[in-house]
Amino acid sequence: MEDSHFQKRLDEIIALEKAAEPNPFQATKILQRIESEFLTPKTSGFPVWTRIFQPIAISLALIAGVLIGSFAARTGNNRNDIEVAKTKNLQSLRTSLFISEITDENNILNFNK
Amino acid sequence: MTDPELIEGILKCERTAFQYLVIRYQRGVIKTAFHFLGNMEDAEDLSQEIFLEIIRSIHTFRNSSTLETWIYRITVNRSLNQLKKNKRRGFLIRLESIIGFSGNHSIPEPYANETSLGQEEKENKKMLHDAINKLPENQRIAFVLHKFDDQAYKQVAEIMNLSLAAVESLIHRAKSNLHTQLIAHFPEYKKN
Repeated sequence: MEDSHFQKRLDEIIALEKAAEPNPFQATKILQRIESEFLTPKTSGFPVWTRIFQPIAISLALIAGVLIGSFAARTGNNRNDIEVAKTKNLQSLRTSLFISEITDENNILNFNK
Repeated sequence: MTDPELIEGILKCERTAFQYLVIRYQRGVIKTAFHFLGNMEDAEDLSQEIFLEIIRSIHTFRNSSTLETWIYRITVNRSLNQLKKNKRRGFLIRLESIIGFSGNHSIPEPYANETSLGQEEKENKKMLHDAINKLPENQRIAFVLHKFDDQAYKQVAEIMNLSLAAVESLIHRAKSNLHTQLIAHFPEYKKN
């Protein structure tokens, strides 16, 4: 007798649980999720090989930059050497033409003012 | 739309097939997940993952069972996994609160957000849910599918990949175990 009463009580609780209904708009939510996963084209642009070669390309560009920089620095030093050679040539020219001193044009202009 | 047509449509990523699948099975999937988890919001969230898994793994479906049985199998597995995750999370949260790192996160109590129910009804449902969760896994699955989802023994046997006799035995033992657990909460039904 107690068992059947207990069973009845249990069935009542189960009936309460079974009565719960999901959100009526849940189907729309699920469909939106499915569409975003399977029907919307992916916009993640870069294919796999691009993702691999991008860092390699950046590294190469950096190395190239360093090399170009060091080359430019060396060329700059050469230019200084040329300047020194030019000055030496002028000195020898002055000596051979017996010119005591090369006139500084800027000083002359200042003097005239 | 027949099952083979539906499967073919899903494999071709046809919108109408997706719509048909969701409209036909969403209520059953959510309700089954709810009966395992005891929380409707969790069950609704999980249902999205279940449908994504159904679509992703539809190519593995073999016609050894019906599509419905196969979907129920996925639902039961995902619900049990979610339950385990919740338990682990609950354990970590309790641990954090003991250590003193407790944040605002918490696992929702079963039936806590069912405002339509009275306090006693909520307590009774929670008590039943707790008692069901203490059952061995096979007994729990068989009992929930049969009692809550109204699945016949034969369908339960198909979903669980067991014989009919085994399912009958599981349900019988589940009822007996539940009786032992719940009778403590209802002293009026105790035998003298």
